[in-house]
Amino acid sequence: MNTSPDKSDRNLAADHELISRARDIYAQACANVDSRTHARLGAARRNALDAVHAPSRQRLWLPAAGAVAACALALGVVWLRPASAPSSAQNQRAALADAELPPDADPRQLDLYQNLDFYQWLAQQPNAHAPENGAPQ
Amino acid sequence: MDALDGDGGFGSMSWAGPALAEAPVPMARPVARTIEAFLASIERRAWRVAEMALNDADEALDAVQDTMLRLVRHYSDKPAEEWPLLFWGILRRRITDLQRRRTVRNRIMVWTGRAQHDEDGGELPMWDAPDPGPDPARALASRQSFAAMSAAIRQLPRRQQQAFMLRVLEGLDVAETARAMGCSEGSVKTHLSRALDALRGKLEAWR
Repeated sequence: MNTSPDKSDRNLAADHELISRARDIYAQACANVDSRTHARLGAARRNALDAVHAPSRQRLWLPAAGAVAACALALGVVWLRPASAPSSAQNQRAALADAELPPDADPRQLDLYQNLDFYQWLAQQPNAHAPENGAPQ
Repeated sequence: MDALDGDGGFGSMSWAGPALAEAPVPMARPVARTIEAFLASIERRAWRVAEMALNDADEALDAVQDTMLRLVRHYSDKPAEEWPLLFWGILRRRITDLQRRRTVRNRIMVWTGRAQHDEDGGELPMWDAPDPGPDPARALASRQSFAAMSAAIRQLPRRQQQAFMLRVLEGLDVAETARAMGCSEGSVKTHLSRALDALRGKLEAWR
């Protein structure tokens, strides 16, 4: 793209005028902001600055709030503990109940338990262990 | 010539460097030492830039307030010399976000058949016209020029708008504009050159 020197000069002059005029218009517009907008901009600025100070106040309150919460938690634990935790008397009753349970079966006696009916019948038979009369000794 | 688009563009040979060098430099601004003084010094210009981009006084105010909030919250401990660039960078992103939301909202309104149209069939904006306020009558011409310039700037692509407003109106140098825009210096030159090409013929309407 060849640009003739005349055209470049014309563009340069036009750009110069354009830039000067744009800056003038911009400067005047900034100087002539209406009072309502000016007040709103000032309020926006104050809000932005206040927002920065707000977190510092939060940081002051945070440890106090944490301490209160911890105390409340501790009180709750202490208060609720007697109602829910077993007492020493309850512990003793539980130990006795455990003691009354039958002992675990000996593995060698499993046959007895599995054929309990048979052994019960066998025990009821008269002279189950004695030899019959006339039988050879 | 302009072979590349977007942030990688380096194609434009003319980027208005000489014109900007000869143009009057914006009034030198003293560096504010407190964050409050800095915000007070920049708030009007920031609002005007946002208003130009958004064409809505209330949305512009929201954008400026949000920018102030973020700057104070996250960057108030930075050196005061860095505040202007940080501020313009935040404001640029906020404006872009609002423009994108508006585009989505307008599309939804079109889909639902609730979009309004002007006499030429173009979509009317979803916002009320800005309230000019009780300005004195002598400022009428200034307001009209500003409105014409704003309308011309809004017709530019977004990146060209940003380059023009930061480089030409705010007077940031190329490196500062690039930082505020989050792009390379070459991209700034390209966007600015295209913006000036587009605006050159509209100067008469600004008088």
